[in-house]
Amino acid sequence: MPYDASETRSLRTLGLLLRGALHEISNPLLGLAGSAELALDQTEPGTKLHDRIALIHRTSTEIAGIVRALQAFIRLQAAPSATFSLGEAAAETVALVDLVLPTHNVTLTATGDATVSAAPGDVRCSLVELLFAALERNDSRGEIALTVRSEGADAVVEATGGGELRLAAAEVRA
Amino acid sequence: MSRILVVDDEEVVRELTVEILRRSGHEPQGVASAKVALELLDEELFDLVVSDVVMPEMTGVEFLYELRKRRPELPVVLMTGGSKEPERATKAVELGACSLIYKPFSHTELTAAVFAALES
Repeated sequence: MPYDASETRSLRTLGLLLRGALHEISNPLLGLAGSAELALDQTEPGTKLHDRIALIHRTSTEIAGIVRALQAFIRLQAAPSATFSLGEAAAETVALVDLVLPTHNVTLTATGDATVSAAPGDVRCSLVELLFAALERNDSRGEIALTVRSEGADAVVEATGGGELRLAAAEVRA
Repeated sequence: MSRILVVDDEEVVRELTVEILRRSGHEPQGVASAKVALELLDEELFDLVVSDVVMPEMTGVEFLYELRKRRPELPVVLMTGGSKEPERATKAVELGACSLIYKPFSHTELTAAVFAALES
């Protein structure tokens, strides 16, 4: 997907702001979720207070999951090229998008596998773009699948509705 | 029961970490800076250090460097909420950190990392 210079700059700025915000959120969120977990042990199960603390714990743990998934995605951007499973990368991308987007009317899945040698951060970005495009085409409804397969010397990820990512497959020694 | 030194400038994280470790049967002590931690480590014996990475004055990696000069065998668990970890993690591993855990972590993740570090 081509971007002009100003769009690239604003996306980079947004990325830096997001990285800072995630760092600043992580400490208070740890305090909130961790304190709620401690407080659960100190209250009587079945009481209103216990139920409310359980709600705080559940909700803060959900937010913590989103924060951690985004942090992991950002960390991957600096990771060097490596040989890895494209099927696992697709499954992790599906899980990330499921966490951060309102995907109530859509079921996201990833199937199949192939091995590639590439920069994992670049591949994750391409997979997110592929999934976003598929969600737009399908109006975020129904079932959207990322299907991974080997095709000759290529590893291919196909999205429901026709989008495709093609990479050179890694040589796998028997 | 293991003596564990917890180093974090954020009070909420420090107190919570100390409480989780105390409930796990350890004897934790919390300090707010790497400088105070180094002074304490010169005077007292600890079995493990759990330290934040991003701290003012002295970062967790700088702290680890100083710590390794004094107590090369002491296991260390680093905890961080930042996302610049590839470079920091590499440095920390080179300096002998046992593990790196990411905030916001659960009680189970913390106690598992501490258990593994103590076993090592």
